[in-house]
Formats: sequence, structure tokens, C-alpha cells
Amino acid sequence: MAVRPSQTDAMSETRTSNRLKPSTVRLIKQNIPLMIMFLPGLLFYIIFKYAPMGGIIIAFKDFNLRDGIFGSPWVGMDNFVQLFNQAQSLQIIRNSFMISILGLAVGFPVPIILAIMLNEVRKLWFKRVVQTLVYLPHFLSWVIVGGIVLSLFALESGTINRWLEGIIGEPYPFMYEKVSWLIIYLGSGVWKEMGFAAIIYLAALAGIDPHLYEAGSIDGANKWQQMRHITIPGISTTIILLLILSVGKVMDVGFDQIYNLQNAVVSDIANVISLYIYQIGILRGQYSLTAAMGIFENLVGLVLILLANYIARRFNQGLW
Amino acid sequence: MKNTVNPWFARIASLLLVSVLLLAGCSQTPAPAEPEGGTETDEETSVNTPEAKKDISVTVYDRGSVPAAEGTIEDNRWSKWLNEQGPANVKFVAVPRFESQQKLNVLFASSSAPDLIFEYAPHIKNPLIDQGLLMPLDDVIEEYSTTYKQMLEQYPALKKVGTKADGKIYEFARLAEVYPIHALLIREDWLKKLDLQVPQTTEDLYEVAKAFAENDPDGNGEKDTYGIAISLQSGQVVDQIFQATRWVVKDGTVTRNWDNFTAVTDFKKRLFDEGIIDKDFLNDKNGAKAKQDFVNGKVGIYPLQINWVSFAQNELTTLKKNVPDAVVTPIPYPKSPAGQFNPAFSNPVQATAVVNASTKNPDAVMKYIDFLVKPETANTLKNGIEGEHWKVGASGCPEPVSMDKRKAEVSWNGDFQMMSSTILDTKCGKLETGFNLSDPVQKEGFDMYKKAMQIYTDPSKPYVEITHPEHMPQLPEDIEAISGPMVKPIDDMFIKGILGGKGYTAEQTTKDAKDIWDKGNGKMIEDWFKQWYEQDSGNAFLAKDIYEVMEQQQSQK
Amino acid sequence: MKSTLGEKVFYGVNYFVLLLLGLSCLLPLVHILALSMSDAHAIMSGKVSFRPVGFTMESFQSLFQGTRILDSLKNSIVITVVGITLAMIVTILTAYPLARKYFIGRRFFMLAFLFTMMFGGGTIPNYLIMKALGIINTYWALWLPALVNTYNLLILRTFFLGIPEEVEDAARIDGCGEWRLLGSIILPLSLPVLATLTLFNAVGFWNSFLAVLIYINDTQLYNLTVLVQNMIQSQSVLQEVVASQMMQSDDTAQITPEGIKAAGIITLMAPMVIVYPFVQKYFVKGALLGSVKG
Repeated sequence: MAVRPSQTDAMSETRTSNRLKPSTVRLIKQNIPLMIMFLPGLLFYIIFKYAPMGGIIIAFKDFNLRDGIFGSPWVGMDNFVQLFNQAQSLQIIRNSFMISILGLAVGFPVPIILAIMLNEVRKLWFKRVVQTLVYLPHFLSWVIVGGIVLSLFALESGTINRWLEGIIGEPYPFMYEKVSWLIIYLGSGVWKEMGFAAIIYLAALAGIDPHLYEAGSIDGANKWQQMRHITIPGISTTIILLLILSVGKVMDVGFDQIYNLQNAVVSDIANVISLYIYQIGILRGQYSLTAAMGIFENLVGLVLILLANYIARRFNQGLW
Repeated sequence: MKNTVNPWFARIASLLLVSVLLLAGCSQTPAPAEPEGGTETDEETSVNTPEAKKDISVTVYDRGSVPAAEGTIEDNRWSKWLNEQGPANVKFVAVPRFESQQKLNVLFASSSAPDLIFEYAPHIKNPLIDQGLLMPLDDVIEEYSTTYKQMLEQYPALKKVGTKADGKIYEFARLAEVYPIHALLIREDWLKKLDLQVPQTTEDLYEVAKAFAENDPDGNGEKDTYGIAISLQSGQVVDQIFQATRWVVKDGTVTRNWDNFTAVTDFKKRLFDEGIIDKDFLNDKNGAKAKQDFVNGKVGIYPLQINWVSFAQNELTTLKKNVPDAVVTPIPYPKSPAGQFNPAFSNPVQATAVVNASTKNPDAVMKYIDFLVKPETANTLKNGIEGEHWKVGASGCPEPVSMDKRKAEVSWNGDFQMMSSTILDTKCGKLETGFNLSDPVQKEGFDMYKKAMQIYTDPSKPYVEITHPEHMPQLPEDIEAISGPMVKPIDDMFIKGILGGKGYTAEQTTKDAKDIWDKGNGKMIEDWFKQWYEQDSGNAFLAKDIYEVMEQQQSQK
Repeated sequence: MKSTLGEKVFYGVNYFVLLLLGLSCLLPLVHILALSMSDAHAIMSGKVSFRPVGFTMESFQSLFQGTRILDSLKNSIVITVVGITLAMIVTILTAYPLARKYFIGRRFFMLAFLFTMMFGGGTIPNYLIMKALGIINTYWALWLPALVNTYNLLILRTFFLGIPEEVEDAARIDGCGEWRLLGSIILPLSLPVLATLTLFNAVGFWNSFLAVLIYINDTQLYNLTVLVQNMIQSQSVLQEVVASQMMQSDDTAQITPEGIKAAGIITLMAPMVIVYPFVQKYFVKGALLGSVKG
């Protein structure tokens, strides 16, 4: 079964090897091939990730293209002050947080369930066809998906409201009511990405030893028990990894989705950071201000990731 | 255990990769945007001209529309032609049309921006000017220009438009025809059928729209028509009818406009509550649904942003197919509480080109501009080579020798024509020559256009806005920082007013919007605008300047 | 194996739900396909639902005909294939040491890499780096910054960690070095996740858009995504190209932005759909571990 080796082993090993000199030599020797392997990746991170990171300082500057990143004048925390002094900032941050927490709560389990459901299909052709179909929406842009949503939920021309008119006599303003809008927003996100997100779990499921299921059914475990005791533990490391990573993105509401689905009536709950960055940074060229917002967003993400990993470590499932 | 993969493979691959990484770090590829010069043309032409052509680099928008057989946007028959006939060795640098801001920013940030930059959007160019990245052109024009200098004298508007806050010229501009780009279209056959008059006031407009929605004008026995469309651009046109624009000139000063917003919100609110418009207008993000309703003959009044030729080719043709009896006509904007206005016009003096401050050969850039603005150059770029692509037709204007050849070799070169002042060709340079009059529907579209020119370019009616949006002053950064974040909340507030039902009046909406404005320090923006209007508006290209150009063009007929 | 009533119900519900989900994803695609093959007037009038109205291939023709579609397709393939190869090699080589518990500094590196998922420099610093490396206007500017996706790296590392230690120990006793262990034990055992990451990379490189526009100057090097997106956007611009329209109507053919857009979506999507079944081959339940052990 796929079970991660525990962290403490690694720790204790390093500690003991520090004391014994010959094993330090052995450890270094052991590490040489690993270091060679690691070198290209390390160089990559240094050159393409850490070197450009100097750009972050524009959040503390009044950036202009002529003086460039390093030449532009320092303004200290001015950009942050300005950001948090704006009347809507608090609302925007709250909305981003709410929408993505809900998105996580709804969007995270669905691909797992979908993968397990597909895994239980015995007819291979059926599995492949459905698997391919649910993978398709990932490739549609949000403009298109927005159009599809509208053709379903529009007040006058939407298919669902046509039915409703037939059944209860009057349509329901799905896109104009906050709760129904939120449900549509979350649902469309799940629909679009579930098939693509399920792929990684399907790969994880493929790694489970089939003997375990055989043993399970000999022991008289039913489907439900097999799922609980074999399937889910088999993919739990993947689930936890992806959960920790998505927690880090918790302030990050994808621009395209919200931009294409929001409307003025629901703006009280739909105004989020990415929309703000678009309006201020891209349309109006305030790079420093948006860089500051980005830093804030990512700091929150970083704290949450560290926290999530800390909790996971308690259960011996931490990333590091 | 058997080895399935040779471990050496992985080792070699990784070594290769490392060396590639290192190589990539060391190799010195020259920066692409720096001028390399068209070397082939260099020698040929230097024989003809006394002084050698200098190298310059010039941007050109890329839209992916160059046919494969013609090469690329940077290298094709017209780029070669410009190099052969023009006064400089031009290296063209493609700038993606829809990501031009990002591309130009990285080019400037890495000091590899080309010498001459063609760009329409003021919000991209103005920050570059503010940051000192673009070259003041007064001396360059004075010293090296002939043709453009002459144009500046003849058409002072060009100078006015090109001059920025510090009083220096930064932009090259071109002249264009003044024609309406917004219109209010109505189904004339419906008016007749329901025995209604063309609406004279906005109140009439409401009554007519209501009748169109309720009295079954298409005669199919169902209540399935909309009186009017207000999605996206249509809504903006309605706003303009009421002069619901943010800034208006009143009593010799600029003020933030609120009353007209109340009026238009109340108007739209009634339309919404009484089911005269499509209740989904808010979600019709690109106006496609409104267009669909219009071509299906389900909308009586269609306010829109219009490209007259393409409207005739597409919307009107489709409408005629679906509803053969439909008659569409533009009507003057009805009189609103704020007055009666002309629609928005095309920009008659459009700034299209700027020069990189660090250009090495400003003289060559200037000569190239001089070459581009020459009527002969503009004509050739527009029509192609005489005899090969066009001949003089019955009307006395160029006519394509072969439509296919024109399409394959000429029609995609529009982005090379950004310095062409087509209107200077008073006979053949007008929009109306674009209609194919042998097609009956296009003939109808042409008649609509002619009528629109008559009713919409009426000098006795005022222009809605202070000026064309491209000529609005650029807010300084600190003012922008106040203004920017308030745009959406205030816009949203007025939409909420429309959909808010009986309990939420238009007056209350305006009050709430004003509240956002006051809390967000809107007063500072007002002060800035007032000051600008008092001190600098004399140098700005305002509505009265547009009217001046318009009247000048009308008198040339 | 016979199934109980409960299991039968479970399978029935499972098939039914999956069928519904599949259909919900299929219908919009059918609609887009129908749009791409319908006549402009039908599209504009909103008459097209799930089958073409006024069948015509003009949207595809205007997309393919005359444009540089073949060149850009070739470019897309080069970008994608080379990109995948490089990215997979480096990602594997980076993930493997991170999965060895005796690898010195692995916790530090994990944190350092994770940090880059949160903080990046933005467009301009990245461009300056590429310029310093001299790889502007080459595909290296697309490949190198995408060598390692931290998300993929962490997934791969997690899978490596999941491989039972007994397997490795056995190999070590046989005298395998790290390279051989990786090449002949770990990788063959990780085919499902390798297939998945290959797919992720393929999708990423295939869809390269903004990076191409920014780092590539020479339009000859543009890929299919850029070409198609460019054409779609050009079709939707209303007022701009007036200059070239001044001369009598060039377009006798009637195409709408919606039709072109639909054709573009189909064109861009097709290769990704064709590739997927090949990836699915590696998802067959338990095929790997079982065979290695047995």
C-alpha cells in the first residue's frame, strides 16, 4: 500500500549521522549522485524563480518604466496604506476569502468523488468515454462557459426558467439573487474543472495494489468498506498534498470566471481581488498598487500553507 | 529485476540539459528589437538617393490576418514596398494588437523598444509620455520635416492633438472623416403599423417602446417583442441620449454630473419593471442577445454602436432574411430633460504614432512619417498598385481589378495605414464609398447612412461629451488612484437602481452613488477637473474643435 | 464474483450519474461544433442549437485558408514536444532527490521551492532575465521558464515517496546506484503519474499564449493558439479597421465572430482530445504495481 515514510525517520538519521564521522562521509558520498541530478532543477529555481523575485520590491516603490525596477523611488509602505484606506478594500478581501473558501469546500472533493466513481466502472469503454467527456470543459474559455450558464439560467430565455414557467408559472431570477448566483458560480467552476482535476486522482488510484481489493472481498468487506479502507487511504497522500496546495491559493479567485459571471446586482459579494487588480492595475496602469495587493494575497496564502502543513505534520502527513 | 531503461540515458540527458542551460546563459543573441536594417535594399537604393538611408525600427500591429502566401506582417510585399519607396531602412517589429500594452511595456522596460511606435490607445501612450520615454517632436519636426510640417500649418488641429500637458508635441496624428458611430435605429414598419409617430422626447421614446412591447407589432399574436434594447453599448447610447456622462460643462465650468443619471436610471427602471426590455440585459455582456433579438425582428428600437458598412452587410442582411418586410431607419436622439444631442462621432483627429526618446535617427523617423502622410503613399497602401490592383472606375474613384487579388494582396494592410489621412481625398476617401450599391440591402444600408449623416451631424445640436474619449485629459497618478477604484462601485450602483424595484427609487440610487463618491474623496477629482478646464482646456481638443472639423468637411461637399 | 443487491444499486446509480455528467459536458461541445458549421445568418439569429443550420464550412475555411495555420501548427508541435521532454526530464531529476530522505537540505529546498509558488516577480523582471540570457525571440524563452512546475514537482515527489521501500531496498542489495534505481525501478513504477504530468505539460505548452506574445517577436514563430486567438479577437473588433474597409466591401463571404470563435475552439481543442486516450491507457487499475511485484 502507498504509505509515506514518516518524517521522524529522516530527522533521526541525520542527527545520528552528525555524530558519527564515517557515516557523514558516507552520507555525502550517497548524496553526490543526488546532487548531480538536482543541479538543473536548482539552477532553474535560482535563475527563473528567485532572480526575477527582485521585482517584488515595486510594491514598496512608485514604479515607472523609465527608472525601472531598481531606479524607481522608494515609497515604503505607502502603497499598502493606500490599499487598505480604500473604502472597498475590506469588502474585496472578505469576498475573495469567502468565495474561494466555498470554492474549495465544493470544488475540492468533487474530482476525488468523480475519480472514485470512474474507478468503479467495470465497462472499460464507458469509463473511457465518460472520462474524456468530463475532461472537455477544461478547454472552454470562461466566455463560452458564461454563455452556457446564461442559456440555462437567464430570466427570460434560459432553459430552466422556461421549465419553471411551465411548472410553477413564474421564472426565478437565478443570476440576480445572491445565493442562487453563488451556487451557479460554484457549480460552473466545479463542472468545468472536475474532469481535468480528477486525472491526478485517477493516476493515484492506478497505483493501488489490486491484491488489496481481492483480500478485502475475501474478508467479506462490502463496496463501502473497501472504499473506506482501501481506496481512500490509497490516495490520501495525493489528497493531502493537493489540499495543502489549494489552501495556499485561498485568496486567489480566478479572474476569468468571476469576470464573466459577475454582474452589478451581485457585486456586493462578487467584487474580488482579481477583478480589482484588473480594473486598477491593468486598465489603469497602477503596477505598484497591484503588486502590493499581490503581496498581501500571497502572504496570506503562505501563512495558510504553513499552517496547513503544520497540521498535516501532526498526522505524519506533512509535505516537509 | 530487469533493467528496462538504460541508466546512461538519463545521465546523458541531464548532462545535456545542464550544458544547454549554461550555453543559453552565455550565448549573446542580439536583442531583436534593435534595428538591423534591411541590408538588401540598402545597396540598391543608395545609388538613387544622394544620402544613404538610415536604419529605423517601427512597430506594426499583428492581427494574424496576413495570408500565408504573403509572408508575415513584418515581412511582406508592403513592408518591402515601404522600404523600397520610403526614405529609410525600416525594420518592422510586430506588436500583438490585443496585448500591445504588455508588449510595449516589456520592450521599454528592457530598453529594446523600436524607434517609431504606432498605438491608438491614449491610456498606453500617456504614461509613456509622463515617464519621459517618448521624444518631444517640436525640434524634430522643425528641423527635418517637410510634408508633416506643412500639414501642421494647414490643419492646426493636428498640432493641438499632438501636444501634451508640457506644451510639447509628442504624437503624430491623422485626419479622419467625422461620422456618427452611435445610432438610434427604429422599426419604421412597426411605427406605421401601430400608427405611432417618431418619438420626439424621451417620454415619447418610452411610450413608443411600451407600445412596441405590448401591442404585438409583428402581428404573430404573441407578446414576444421588446420595445427597446439596453444591453451594453445600447445602454450607453441611451445614457448619451440623456447626457448621463460623468463630466459635463455647465456655466463655464466642469462639474460631476448626477441629475442626468437620475433621469436615465428612472427611464431604464420603468422599462425594466414594465417588461419593455429583455430582463437579462445585464448578463448580455457583449450585446449578442440584443443583436440576435434585433435580427429576428423582435426589437423595435435598437440603440447601438455602429459600423455602417458592416451593419448593412451583416445585421441588416440577416434581418431582411428573417423578416423581409422590416424597415429600419435612424432617428434623431429624442429630447431629454438635459437637452437634445448629436450622437458620438468618430475621432476626426486621431493621434496614432509616437517616437521612442532614445531613438538614434530621429531625422530618418521624421522622413519616414513625411513619406507615410503623402497622399500618394496613403493611396497606394489603400488601393494597391495602379494597373495591378486597381483602375479608375466609372465613379472616377479606384476600383479593384480583381476582388480576389485585392483581398489576397491588399486588404489586410490596414495597420500600415495608421498615418493615412484618408479624408484628404475628398472624392474617394469617404466612408460612403465602402457600400456596394448593386446589392439592394447594402443600398438600403447606404441610404440609412446618408440619412444618419444628415440628422446626426447637425451643428445646431450639442455634442454629448466634453470631447471624444481619446482626447479626454489624462488624470495624474494620485487623482487616478482616487478615481479608478470608484468607477465600478458607482456604475454598479446605478444598475442596482434599475433592477431595484419600486422600493428603490432613482433619486435614492443617485444619492447612494453620490455617497460613494463623497466618501471616496471625489471632491479632489472634481477640483482637478475644474482646474484643468480653467487652465489647460484651451489647449485641448474639445467638442467645439470636433464641430469645427465637421463643418469644414461638410462645406467641402 | 457475484454482487449483492446493494452493489447492484451502487453500480446502477454510478453509471447513471456518470452518464448525466458526461452528457452535460457533451452537449455544449455539440452546440459549438454546430455553430462552427453553420451559416452566419443562422448564428446571428440564434437558430443553431445542436445541429448545423445552413451547413457551411466557411468559418473553418476563413480560419485555415490563406493563413499561416500549417506553419503555426508545426510551431505548436515543436513547442509542445520539446517542452514536454525538457520539462519531464528536469522535473523527474528534481523530484527524485527530494523524495530521498537522506538527501541533504531537502526540507530547505522544499520550502524554498514552495515559496516560489506564492511569490513571483511579474512580467517585467522575467523579461529582463530572458533578455540577459539572450533567449528572447527563441523558444527557449518558453521552454526554460516552464522546466519545473512546482505543483507538478510536488505531485511527482509524493508519488515517488509512495513507492514501497521494500522495492528499493531489494534493488539496493542488488547494488543499484541512484541513477539505476531511478531509471529502472522508480520510473517504471510511476507510469500513471508520469503520463498525467506529461498531459499537464502538454496542455500547458499547447495553450501557450501570453508568453509567446511577449517573448517571441518574430510572428513566423507564433503558435496555433496565438494565431487562432488573434483571429478571433480581430473578428470582434467593431470600429477599428475602417481604413481598409473604405474600399468597396471586401467580404462577400458572410462570417460572424461567433462562427469563427467556434471553429477556433474546435481547432485548438481537437489535438488535446485526441491525445487524452493515450494517457488513459496508463490508468488501468493496478496494472503496474501488480506486475512488478508478481
